Formats: sequence, structure tokens, C-alpha cells
Amino acid sequence: MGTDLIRFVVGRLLQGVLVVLGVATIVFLLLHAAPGDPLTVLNDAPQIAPEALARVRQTYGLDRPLPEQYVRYVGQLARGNLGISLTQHRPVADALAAAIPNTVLLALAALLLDFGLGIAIGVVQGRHGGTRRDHVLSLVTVTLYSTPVFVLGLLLLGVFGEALHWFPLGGAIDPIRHAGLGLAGRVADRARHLVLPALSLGLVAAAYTARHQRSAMLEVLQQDFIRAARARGLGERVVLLRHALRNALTPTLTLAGLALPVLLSGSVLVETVFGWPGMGRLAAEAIGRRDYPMVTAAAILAAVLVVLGNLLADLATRIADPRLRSIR
Amino acid sequence: MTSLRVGAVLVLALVVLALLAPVLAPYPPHLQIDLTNLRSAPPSFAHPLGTDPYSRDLLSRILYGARVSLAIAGLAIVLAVILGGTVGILAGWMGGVTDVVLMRTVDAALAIPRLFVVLVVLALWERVTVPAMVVILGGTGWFGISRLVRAEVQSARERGWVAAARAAGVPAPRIVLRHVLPNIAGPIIVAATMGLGQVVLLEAGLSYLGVGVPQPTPSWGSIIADGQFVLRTAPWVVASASLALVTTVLAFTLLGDGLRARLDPRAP
Repeated sequence: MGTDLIRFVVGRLLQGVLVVLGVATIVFLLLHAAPGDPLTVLNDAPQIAPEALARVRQTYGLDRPLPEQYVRYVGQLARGNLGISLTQHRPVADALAAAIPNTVLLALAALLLDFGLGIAIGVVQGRHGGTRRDHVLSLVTVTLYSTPVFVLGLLLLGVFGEALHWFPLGGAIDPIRHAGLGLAGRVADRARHLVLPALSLGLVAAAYTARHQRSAMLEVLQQDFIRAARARGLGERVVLLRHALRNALTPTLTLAGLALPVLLSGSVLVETVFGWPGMGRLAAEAIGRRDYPMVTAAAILAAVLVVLGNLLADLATRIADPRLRSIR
Repeated sequence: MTSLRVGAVLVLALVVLALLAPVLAPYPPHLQIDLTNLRSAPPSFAHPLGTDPYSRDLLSRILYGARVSLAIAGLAIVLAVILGGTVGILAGWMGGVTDVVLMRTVDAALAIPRLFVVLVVLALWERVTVPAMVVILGGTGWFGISRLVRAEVQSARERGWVAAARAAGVPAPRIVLRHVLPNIAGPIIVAATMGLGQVVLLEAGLSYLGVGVPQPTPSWGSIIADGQFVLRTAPWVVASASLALVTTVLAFTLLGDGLRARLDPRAP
């Protein structure tokens, strides 16, 4: 299995590079499909001479033909040069490097909640399919699934932050006390700040996962091998968890690949609600100020995270389902 | 069955409320009634849902917001179905290089979280009008539909009745439109209905971030953004718009669930 796995990972990484190149191309085309260029807003500015604008366009190569600009752009990207932020006056890469760990932390916490809670609810519903309990849980998940993450965020913030004071109102750390705390204190401080944003993002995602897990369980529980397992006199718990769940897990794990783009989209909103210093909030702030190098870099990096996440999801699926190990 | 009925009734009610907004709304949605005395006022007889921090009647804004939300979502989904359908049919019917190029492009597009795609598109737009929003949301919403249509077209292409139509000399475009499409309409309708809810969510998210349809056009997302700073003192601002939003998305999700049970033979 060793070399097989390495070949699989290398192959998928190469595919991933192609996907990211595709993403960069799409982003480039989208930017150039918009009317004008980044300097168009200045065309009518009386204090800037047209010659000066032309000079700036020349410096940044904005006057060159599109294919040439494209080659230059991809070349810079390949070297890790994401450009200079128009509002932060520092390299986009620096700003994003500081923000990404926070977003990854938030996304991982949400992902854990997503699959932990989602699968658990789905299994309970599948076990008690058609009963009152199933219907009530279905109503809860369909309502949560229909709730925008920023609405849930504001609700949690209003109740548990502003009214009950159980959790802080925003940010990733306590700006005053954090530096003075010991290691355990710092971890606890981070965790306290993480709870509400992770719940906002994770609960909505868990509702979606639960809906899928429920139908996967109901489907698997009708199969012959389940009847056979029951006929052999195996306990309900063993049948449910060892036989049914393991088989119903594969379609859900495939969802993990789809869950990541949704979580990252949601993180833009949740990070804005909670002032969480991640790349989502960076992108949201950048868009308000037309800082397009920042926005495009965030989009491309989000795609890189999605590609990596997909790879991990595929690996997890292969481990969970031995039948898939021969497939590349 | 029940979800189909509840969803359909809710959607119908929302559409009627949106259409009747000019009749039902007690005030014009932009009107700042009394900036000195009537900011973030609680619900009362004159203002059944209260007023927002800019002294505008909330009920009126929410009713007009329904028009904006539903119009954008409906038109964007029509656009997404047309784009996704065309690409899916081309890829599924032609196969070969066309298929590979189109589907790899879709793969790449699906790898960017949708909100980021939309933000990139919005980055260079100065002012987003309602039609522009429709184009942006429809133009970024067809990737999933194209995959679905492609798979359905591929499997339909191998069926006997398509071979029969071909043997009878029916031209390919006619086979696709008259024989293949009607047979795959079910899954497309289900996906479009589910998509409607997602577009409503996305549009609200963009308005919440302040990059949606600009103020003072009422949008549920921007009402929530206006209200979040008075969350403690005037929770009705965020609550009423949130309720409208959740109800709408729930209506489309229930309708989609119900339609799936009806139309999609493979549904569990």
C-alpha cells in the first residue's frame, strides 16, 4: 500500500496544481472582464495628469496586450508574489500569512463540529427513521440549514455574548490580557474566543451533513447485509455502528470536499460578525476599499485550501473504505 | 409530501407579499420619518415592526426587501439553469475534448469558494445594480447544475429511445430539446429550487457585507447590517429581517425536498 499511496498523493497534488492554475486563470479573466482597469476611477480626477496615469499603467504593464499580462501574472504567482495591498501598503502575502492560521483554526473547529454533530444526528435519525424523534430532528436540521451563518452568528452573539456575557464579543484573543497569560491561559483564552464563531459556522454545516447522513443511513439499513447481521444475532449497537455507519460514511466523507468551500465562504461572513482576524475578514474589508490584489489573492488561496482539503478528504475516504484503495 | 405542501404555500405567500408590497407597506421604504425622535423605535401600531436606526419603517423595508431578494434570486437561477444546461448538454452530448475542457474548467471554478468568486467579480465594479447582481449571481451559480445536466445527458444518450430517434434521422439539437431535456427536467427543477434558497442566502450575505445592491434599496442583508449595532437596544431590527430571510430560504428548501421526493426517482 505504501508506494501506491505515495503515487496517489503525488498524482493528486499535480492535479491540484493544475486546478489552482485554472483558478488563477479564471480570476485573471474575471478581473479583466470588468469594465476598465484599477486606474479607471482616476480618469476624471482633475489633479492627476493623463500622462501620469499613462506612466503608472506602463509601470504596472497595464498597457500591454492581455496574453502578455497573463504570462507575467502567472509567473509572479508561481514565485509567490501576490502583489502589494492597495490599502495596507504591504505585500499581500504578508497580510494573508498572518490571517490564514486564524481562518484554518476556525474552519477546522467548524469542520469538527460539522462532521461530529452532523454524523451523530444523521445516525440517530437513521436508526429511528419515520418516528417522532426523526421528524423533530429533521425540522431542526432543515431550519438550521436555511439559516444564514451571519444571522446565527448575530443571534449567538446577542444571547451568549451581549446578554449573558458567557463569551467575548469578538476577536481571536483578549487584546489586553493575552500576552500576560501562561500557556494554559492562552489556550483557554483562544478557545473562549473560538466558541461562538465556530458554532455559527459549524452548526449550519452540521445540519447539511446530518441531512445527508440520515438518507445514507436509511438507504444502507435496508440492505441485505444488515438483515444478515441482525439474523446472526448481532446486537443493535454493533449492527448500527460497525455495519451500517461504516458503509454510510463514504458518501458523507466525500462531502467533506464540498464542505470546505462552503465553510470558507461562510468564514467571510462569520469573521466579519465576530471581528475574527482571518483571511475572510481581510477579503471582506478589502472589497469595501476596492483593494483588488488582496481580494484576488484571498480567492486563489481559498482555492488552494480547498484543493488540499479535498486531498485529505480523499485520503480519509480511502482509509475508511478499503474498496477504494485500488482506485487512483 | 408535507414539505412539498408547506414549501409551496410559503413560497406562494412570499411571492404574493412581494408583489403587493406597494399596497401593503405603510410607508415608502426609503422614507426617513423622524430622524430626531423615531430612531430604532420598538414595534407599535404605527410601525408594526418598529423602525430602523435611520428612522425608516421596518415593515415597509422588509416587504420591499422581499421584492429585491426574490427578483434577484429568481432571475439569477433562470440564468444559472440556462448557462449550466447549455454547458452540461454540450459536454455530455459531444464528449471528447469539449467535455474534458468544459468539465475541467467547472472543476477549477468549483474549487473557489463561491463567495470569493463573487467578491473577485465585485472588486472592480463601482456600483452594483439589480441587473448586475443577477448576472453576477447567475454567472457564478451554474457550475453544479452543469455537472448534473452532463451526467443526465450522458446516461440519456445511451438509452434506446435516443438511438431510435437518431436512426429515424432526427437532428441532434431536436433530440436534445424534445427527447432528452424533458426526461431530465426533474433533477434540474429540484436543483434549481434548492439553488434559489442558496442565492437568497448569498445575496443577503453580500448586502450584509455592504457590497450587495447599494443603499437605500432595501435588502434583508443590509437591514441586518444596519441593525447589528443596535442589537442590544433594538433587537427587532435584526430579528425581523432575519426571520424573513430564514422563512424564505426554508420555504425553498422544503419545496426542493418535496419536489425531489416527487420528481427524482433515485431519491431515498
